[in-house]
Amino acid sequence: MHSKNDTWQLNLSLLTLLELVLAYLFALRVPTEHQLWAGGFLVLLVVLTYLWRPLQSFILLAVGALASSFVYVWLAWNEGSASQLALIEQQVILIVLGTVTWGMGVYVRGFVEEARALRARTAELEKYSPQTRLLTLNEFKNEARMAFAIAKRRGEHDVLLRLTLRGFAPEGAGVRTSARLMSILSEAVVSSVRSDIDIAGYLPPNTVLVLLQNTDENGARIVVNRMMAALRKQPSVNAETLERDIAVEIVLLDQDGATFEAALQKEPESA
Amino acid sequence: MTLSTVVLIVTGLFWLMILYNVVLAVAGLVHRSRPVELHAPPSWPSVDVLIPAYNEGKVLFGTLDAMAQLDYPGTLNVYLLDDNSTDTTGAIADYFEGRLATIHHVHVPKGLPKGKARVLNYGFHNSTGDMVVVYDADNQPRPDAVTLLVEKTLESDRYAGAVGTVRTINMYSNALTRMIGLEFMMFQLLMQSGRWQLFKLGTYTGTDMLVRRSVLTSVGGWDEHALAEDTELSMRIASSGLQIPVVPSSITYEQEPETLKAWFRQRSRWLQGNLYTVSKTLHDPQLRGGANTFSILQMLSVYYVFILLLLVSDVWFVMGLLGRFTTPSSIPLLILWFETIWIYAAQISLATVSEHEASARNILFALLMYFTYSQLWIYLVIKSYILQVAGIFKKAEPIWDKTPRF
Repeated sequence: MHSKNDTWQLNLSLLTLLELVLAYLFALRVPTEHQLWAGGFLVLLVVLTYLWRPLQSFILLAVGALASSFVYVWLAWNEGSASQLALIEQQVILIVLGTVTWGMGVYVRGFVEEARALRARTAELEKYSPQTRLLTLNEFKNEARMAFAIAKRRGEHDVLLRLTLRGFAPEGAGVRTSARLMSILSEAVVSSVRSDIDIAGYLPPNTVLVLLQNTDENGARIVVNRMMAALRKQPSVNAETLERDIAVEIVLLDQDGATFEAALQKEPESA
Repeated sequence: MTLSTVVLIVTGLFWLMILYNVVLAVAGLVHRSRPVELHAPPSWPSVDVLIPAYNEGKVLFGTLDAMAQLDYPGTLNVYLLDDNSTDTTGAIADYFEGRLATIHHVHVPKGLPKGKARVLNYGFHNSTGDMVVVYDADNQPRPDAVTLLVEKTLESDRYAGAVGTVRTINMYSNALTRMIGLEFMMFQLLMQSGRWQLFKLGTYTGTDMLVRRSVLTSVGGWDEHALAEDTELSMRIASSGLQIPVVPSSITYEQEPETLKAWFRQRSRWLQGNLYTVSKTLHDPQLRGGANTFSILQMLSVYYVFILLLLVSDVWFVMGLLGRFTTPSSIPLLILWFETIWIYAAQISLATVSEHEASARNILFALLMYFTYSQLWIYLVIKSYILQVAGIFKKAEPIWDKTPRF
């Protein structure tokens, strides 16, 4: 849904270098009487950045940075136009120093832990298609290969079920597939298969794949009927129309996996 | 009165308004930083989502798909109000209506005056839900957007409904959409939150908004002559002593104009609509007073006084460059100029941080906006004023100018 943006990634080395340069400029260019109140503010900012949530301490930084404008207008008005450039230079040093200090505080406090937690969460979520709660294609293939090895050893047969939701193609436009309808189809599939034995995956943009283990065509038809019944139970769905949109294909798989790979290579059916 | 005194008064007024905006921005940040503590009601009221649409084929599939994914615990029906579209709008609506029982394609009969308000009134009178939610036809709300609006509304009987926040779905398409996105973050998201935080004032923004059916009935629905029907409705609701809380976590994404021509047309319509609302409020004793006086003053100050001061500042600058005007030496012009740009860019940057959109490019664009985007408002305000005055003299209905989609 969101368009690509270019938001910042904080870099601790760069922040540290900037902090040192700015601290040097602060000592060199800002008069002692201003260093006192500005230094006090920076210390307060560092302490509260560790105690508060990042956005709360950012509010303090924002208040300080914006208030400095009014302070410097007042100073300039009293001191005359001769020192304006020097005042602007001082204010820029203070604002950038405050911003970098806040950035470092936030980074050190939480970004590393947050990144670790997010990476773990992402790794978990990547196993599933976010829209449908089905396995992604790669994960589906991996699981299916393991299932083949077991089936071959036991002398069993598996069946691949391909369920394709036909999209909508208005005049002069490409085929569109509704994420909501795909989600409804996926939920119906997940509720109709044996969760600990069968494997369900998502082949974008409009196909659900189900590997049914140790069964035959008749077993696959039972699953399809169960899935259609699950669709009819959903009060928000006009199941009769939706059923007509779903193309069902049952592929009997051989034990060397060739028919499985061929079925995956097949282009998804469109409108 | 000497020149120095005039300059002092103008500068003082200018800085007073800047101070007001700074306070609003900080208050907005405070409001947005607070954790949301909403509670599920014992029973959920029924909700009707109204989507006025005229030739929205380019965007409607995504819109209705997003509406189908709204995760609301109670009964929710979506009404696509098709105002005699001639493109694929009807076909897309039929596709979803045929498959999902909660989506309804409503054919709105032809009528006058043309525009969103009349279509909304038709939908309102032909639906029965306890709560009425409005989305524009290019919107894609988050699944929890409606639930959050309902929860907030049910917190107090003083709440007429609630309003969420709008983000730009195509913010990074080009320079113009980026500036619009930044403007929305600042003036709509942060300022709106600030007004609610400080004064308990909220204004409907035309989309991602909820009104109780009882309130809408008591105020007589939407004013079909208003181009800014959202602001106008907010005024009438405020005059009845009710409030419209702002819910920053209820978020919808919408498409913004990608060409200057489309942007000019859209904003002219908004400004004309605001002029109509100001005029109506000032002429109607029942609407005047209290919160509305404050809102009108703010509208006048932002759209007219501020723009006038900006124009004066530009003229002053150009005259100075041409040597036709000498600024008294006691005025620290350089620092005033620097601080104005800094505060403008800083406020926008604050908004980007609160929206997790902070970047070097966005800050650069915030600076550029001062010299480009903001200056275009001078032309816009003058144009809308002329159009509105001309309309009054000709006694003509304002023309509803639909924003093109991309």
